[in-house]
Amino acid sequence: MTGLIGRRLALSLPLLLIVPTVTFLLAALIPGDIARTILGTDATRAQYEQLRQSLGLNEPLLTRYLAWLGSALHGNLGTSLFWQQPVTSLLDSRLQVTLSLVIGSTAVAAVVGVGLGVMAALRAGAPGKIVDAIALTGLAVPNFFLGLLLITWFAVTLRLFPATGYVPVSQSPAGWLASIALPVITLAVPGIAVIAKQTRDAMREALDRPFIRTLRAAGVPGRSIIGKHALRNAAIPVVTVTGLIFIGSLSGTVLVEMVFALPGLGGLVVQATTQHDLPLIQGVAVYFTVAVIGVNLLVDLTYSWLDPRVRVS
Amino acid sequence: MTQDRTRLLGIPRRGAAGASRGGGGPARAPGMLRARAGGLRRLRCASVVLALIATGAATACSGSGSGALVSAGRASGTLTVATPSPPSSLDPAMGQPADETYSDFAYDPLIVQAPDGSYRPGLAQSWSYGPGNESFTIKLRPGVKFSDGTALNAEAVKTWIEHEMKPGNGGSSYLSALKSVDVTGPLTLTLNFSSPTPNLEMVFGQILALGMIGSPRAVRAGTLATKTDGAGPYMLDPTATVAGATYTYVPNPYYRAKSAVHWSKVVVKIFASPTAALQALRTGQVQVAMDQPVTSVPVAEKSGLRYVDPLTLLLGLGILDRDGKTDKALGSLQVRQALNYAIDRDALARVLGSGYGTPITQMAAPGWDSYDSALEKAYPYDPAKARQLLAAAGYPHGFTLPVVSVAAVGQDLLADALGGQLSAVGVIVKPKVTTNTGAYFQTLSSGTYPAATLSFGRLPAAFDYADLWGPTASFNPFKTASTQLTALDGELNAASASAEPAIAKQMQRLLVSQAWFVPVAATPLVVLYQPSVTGVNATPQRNVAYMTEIRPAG
Repeated sequence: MTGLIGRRLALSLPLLLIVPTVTFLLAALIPGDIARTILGTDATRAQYEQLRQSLGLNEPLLTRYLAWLGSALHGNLGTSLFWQQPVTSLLDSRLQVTLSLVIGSTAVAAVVGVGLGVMAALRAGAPGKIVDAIALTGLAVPNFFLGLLLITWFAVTLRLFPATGYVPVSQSPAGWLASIALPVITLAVPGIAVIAKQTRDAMREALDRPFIRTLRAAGVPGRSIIGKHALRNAAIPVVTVTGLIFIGSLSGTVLVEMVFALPGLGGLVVQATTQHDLPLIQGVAVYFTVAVIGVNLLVDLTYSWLDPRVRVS
Repeated sequence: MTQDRTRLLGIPRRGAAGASRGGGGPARAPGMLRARAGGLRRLRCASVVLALIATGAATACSGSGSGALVSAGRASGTLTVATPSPPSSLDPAMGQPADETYSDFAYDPLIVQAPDGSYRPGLAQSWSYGPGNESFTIKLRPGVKFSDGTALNAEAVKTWIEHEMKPGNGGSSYLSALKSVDVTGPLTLTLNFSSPTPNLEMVFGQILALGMIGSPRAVRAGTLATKTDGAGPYMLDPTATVAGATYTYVPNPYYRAKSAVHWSKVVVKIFASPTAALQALRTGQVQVAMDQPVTSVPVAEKSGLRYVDPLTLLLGLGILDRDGKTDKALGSLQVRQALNYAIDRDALARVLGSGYGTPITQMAAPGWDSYDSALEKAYPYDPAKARQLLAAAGYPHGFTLPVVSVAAVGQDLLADALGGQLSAVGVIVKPKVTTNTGAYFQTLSSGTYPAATLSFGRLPAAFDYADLWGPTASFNPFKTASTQLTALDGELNAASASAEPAIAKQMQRLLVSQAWFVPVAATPLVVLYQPSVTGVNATPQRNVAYMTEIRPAG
């Protein structure tokens, strides 16, 4: 198992170099610069040039990139040009919000999606159609619109949840749960749809396989066949999709954070991009890359747990 | 650069495995018991989760309803303000429009502009102009301390003005004629100018914010960009602040007037989405929402919220290449006038202002000193006349007009609408819509586009000359000069306050006759608030609410 983890990590490390490099190049292509954002309209050319000089923006792109890379290799992601604060402290102050949303929504999507998928696979007819309908609806409704609907129903009308904002778990676990309930549901719905459909198809395929007939013929109880054998066999594609949903949720948080006014990384990356705050954009890229590597590793470990052949290979 | 927050763009300046195990339990009696026990455990867990959510929701919503919130807000003494954008800097000398939402709480200005437009003592006890508006003497209020305990004195103000005069800071624009600062006593100082410099009350008031003095110790330490150190009623609590998201203020222990501290805590939260801000206001999570779109007003009214909506933003087309250096057509007065005749301002004002807009033909709105109602008839909607003028100027089939715009405060919508209307007279608008203001300003000031969509807030006419139509104005990249305008600006700067409006009107008349702009509509920028608070004062005379005036109602 340790070897597997080591191999996967070694294969993932180049990503930590490639993604920030590509991000750096793409961010450098965005028109405008942070000196103009900071100075506004009335600054003279001389003031503008002076600020560019002090921010190091006149250095060649390669020099700026190598300087950033050198610091990053020492664990220093630099200082935000706009906020004049260490990038890591800016990101860490918002990490909990985004992790709460992404982990929460992925967990909800996995549990509800698998439940619906299994139900649809076992009961042909109406349940299958219901899952199809849910899947289509979940995919068709944009999450910002769903978020607004949930706010209107559950926050404004019923007053069951707060409409906006985030309560840190350290401040109030109950308040935290209430503050992320609606955003998590909003972010989870498309995932539920995808996982439900994936689970249903994979379960149907597994249930049609010869070993299931053999187990039935041997008198193994139905619940055991479904839970212990069919679902385990059907789980690999579902795990894959769940991992992808987690990764997709990282970008999905941008709109959800805006709709629910949550102080997460999604909003910060939008601000950083419009402000041309390259160190901050790079910092977010590094954090998101680490998250993607972590999830992929978790998915790989789950594969090996579900199917021992993976460990051997 | 510190500017009127309402100015310019209005922006924002200043699994499966678990299921497998559970479902796979052997169907023996003990197993069934286990299964039931497991079911009960799950049920209990679910109950606990639901109870937690309910408790949390109850906690979170206890102050959420309008009524409930009022009592919660008062009990806790917390004022929560929603604002669309984070501050570019917490240093009042370096901020952008709208940053004053943040600095108002921590920095008292030297001079306070009251809602009726008059000026009252702030940190300055009194002030006076010298002969010809070429000097300005300030006498400070005694016994004032900054939040770090440092005393406010004339030297501190001098240090601050020097800070303001650094490149890129507000002073370099509004105090450009400053020659020297003479400290004449512990609490008195005189500013000397090389040319007449009026309107210093506004410059040192809360609107332009140059009089929002920071502690000299903090200025020297260079800490003001990320923490506050002023002589205002509150100070930033960095431990409860998340940069770019939530800014928390607590009372300044050294504040001079405890009775003016209305809240035990103030929280300024960024709501990028106006809909989210409105919902937070409706559910009582915030009490005041700054700079909201006018489209939020109908829902706010239905929800029992209140609002102020001074006409704040002027939207229009700025003809930048007035001499026709790169776009020959625009050098023709007839062409510029044709563009003005081709616009149906009534229709555009309805669209741009969502029913709350007012059509304008000049770069001023009703209620402003420089507004001349007679000018509103200058360019009635007359496409036939527009075509006639274009033909007379040698453009019978129109011409192509590149326009730089930005996707903010309706400018992109304006660009589209102008394109539609001008195409009827043969003028093809080619808009370049930038996604951010930085790129917009950069493109505009580069002189590569002959025209731009514009939005402006209200400032005294002398500042409008410096910012908009003077030869060194940032919005005059082709450096067009008018001897008549320059002469009027000189008169304006030396004039008494009572004579200023007449001169400002003359400037407007000249601008309208020369058709340097195609003004379209004045639109409001709304402040929404709950009935539980009062003191949200934005008026035609002072169209910006002053945050420290907001207090619990009743």
